Amino acid sequence: MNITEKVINVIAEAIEVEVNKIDEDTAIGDFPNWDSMGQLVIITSLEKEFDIKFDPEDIMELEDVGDMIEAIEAYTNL
Amino acid sequence: MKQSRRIQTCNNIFILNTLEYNIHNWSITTPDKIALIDKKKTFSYKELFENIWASKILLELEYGISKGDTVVLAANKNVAFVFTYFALHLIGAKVLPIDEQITQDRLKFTLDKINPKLIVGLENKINNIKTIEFDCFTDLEKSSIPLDISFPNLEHSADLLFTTGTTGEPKGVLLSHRNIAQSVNNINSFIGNNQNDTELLAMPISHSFGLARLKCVLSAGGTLVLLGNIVNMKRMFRMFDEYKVTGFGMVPASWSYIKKMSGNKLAEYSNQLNYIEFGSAYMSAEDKMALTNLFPNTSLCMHYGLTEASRSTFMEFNTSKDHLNTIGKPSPNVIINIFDENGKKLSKEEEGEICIKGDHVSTEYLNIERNDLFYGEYFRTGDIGLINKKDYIVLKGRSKEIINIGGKKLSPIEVEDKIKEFDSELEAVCIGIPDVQGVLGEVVKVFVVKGNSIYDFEEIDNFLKKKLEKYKVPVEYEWINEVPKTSSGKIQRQKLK
Repeated sequence: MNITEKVINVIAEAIEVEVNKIDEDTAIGDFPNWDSMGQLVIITSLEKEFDIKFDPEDIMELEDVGDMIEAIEAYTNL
Repeated sequence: MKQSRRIQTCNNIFILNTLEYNIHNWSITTPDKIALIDKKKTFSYKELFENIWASKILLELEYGISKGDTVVLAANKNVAFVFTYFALHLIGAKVLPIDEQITQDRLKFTLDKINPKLIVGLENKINNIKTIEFDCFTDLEKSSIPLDISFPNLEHSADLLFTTGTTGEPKGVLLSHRNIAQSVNNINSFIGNNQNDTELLAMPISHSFGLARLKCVLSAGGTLVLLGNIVNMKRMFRMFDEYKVTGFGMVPASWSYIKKMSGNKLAEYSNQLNYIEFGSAYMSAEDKMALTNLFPNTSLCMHYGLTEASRSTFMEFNTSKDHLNTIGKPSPNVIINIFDENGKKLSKEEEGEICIKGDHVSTEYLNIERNDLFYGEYFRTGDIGLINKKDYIVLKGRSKEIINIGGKKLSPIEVEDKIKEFDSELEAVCIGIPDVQGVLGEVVKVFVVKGNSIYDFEEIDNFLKKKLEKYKVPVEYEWINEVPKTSSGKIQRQKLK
């Protein structure tokens, strides 16, 4: 499973939607469960899955799935 | 220091007007002032009142709404909600704002209780009550507004709000126009809201805190910027910049979220923000003190209140640094006393039930006798506390076993009843436990008595997820051998904490 697939899986599980309903353009607020609590669960789950810790400044930039994939790629390449 | 914004004592004789009167007044005196901003649309006070009036005409002529009717409005934060809400008041109808994410079960319970004439903005699969979309109220043709408008009578019912009852069933609270106008006046007096304010409203308006912020800003003639929620922090800060936001309201859970997601970035707006109002849930004295360091020049106002007695106390953190472990003092025009279980007024430092008196207190309930809820003119909050020697009120505990999830209140009985619905043989007890994520304050934990049940927690959890709003679903499950009870059979939830 590549990073994109992993990220989408984590998000799907966190906000309880089917994987095939999420793509790179899916953004905060697109599903009722993707509220502030959902966003928090997603961030925490991504940090756990990829063993990273986002800086608050970077967290603010994570507005959609594509942003999250890019950020994870950057963090895991450090 | 913006001391002038702080507590204002009212020595002048004050005539209480309905919010609709105030908004109309602003539409005459400051017609071009921006009242509402929703995404890229802006509405001046003149345009706001024109839309309210056009919505009133539509509701009367097209949907037959008249005085005394009840109309359900989805608490969707859009301009059409604002138009419709005030239009219904002008007609003399009662408004029941409902969370858009309400389950069909809960909606059925509510509709059965009130039998509304119309539902706006919600899906209704339950009965034949006329249901329409908010779109019906956008881009309405303007009609001429008469010079002699009949504004609502202060004593008539304006809003019907359902609040968490101790029995697990929601309790219908009727707020009169006087209750609302007085509450708005009290809040605006304390916070110092005025025409120069531009407030970003990111809280849900299905709860009294968010809905009251909307009322306070428009009643004061300020500008209200609507934002769905704070989940997208980047967009929120963009709006702070774009609209030069000077006021903001949030529950403690939102502050925890903002801190986690953006560190102390909000403090960069310290000099821009004249006030922040906090409320609806517990906040530690340490968190309050930390806020005073980040916002030394901002009025940091925290309230304590209930649906039926909105904003009954207030405290401003920067000027009450020695009293941050209290809930402040009574709001302007509010009297608070402590009573014992026999309804006898207690002295300072004596612990008892916090009871509230004032024109902001609701005096009418749906299908509930008022008597049990009052000691004379004092509304019984069910909360335990005392008034200390410096006249600050200290909250000691909640006699009700309500769980507070990020400001949203839940009776444990509601979840327990759903578990009974899943399997009537199961005995379960719910309590609030601290949220380990440190955001929501409390989350739900359920203890299930291990008996002959064949079910595992996953099955219960899946059932509850379908039947309850997300925040009400337990995050922890644990087996127990028996439920702790008193000799009279009352569940002792505290023993499970």
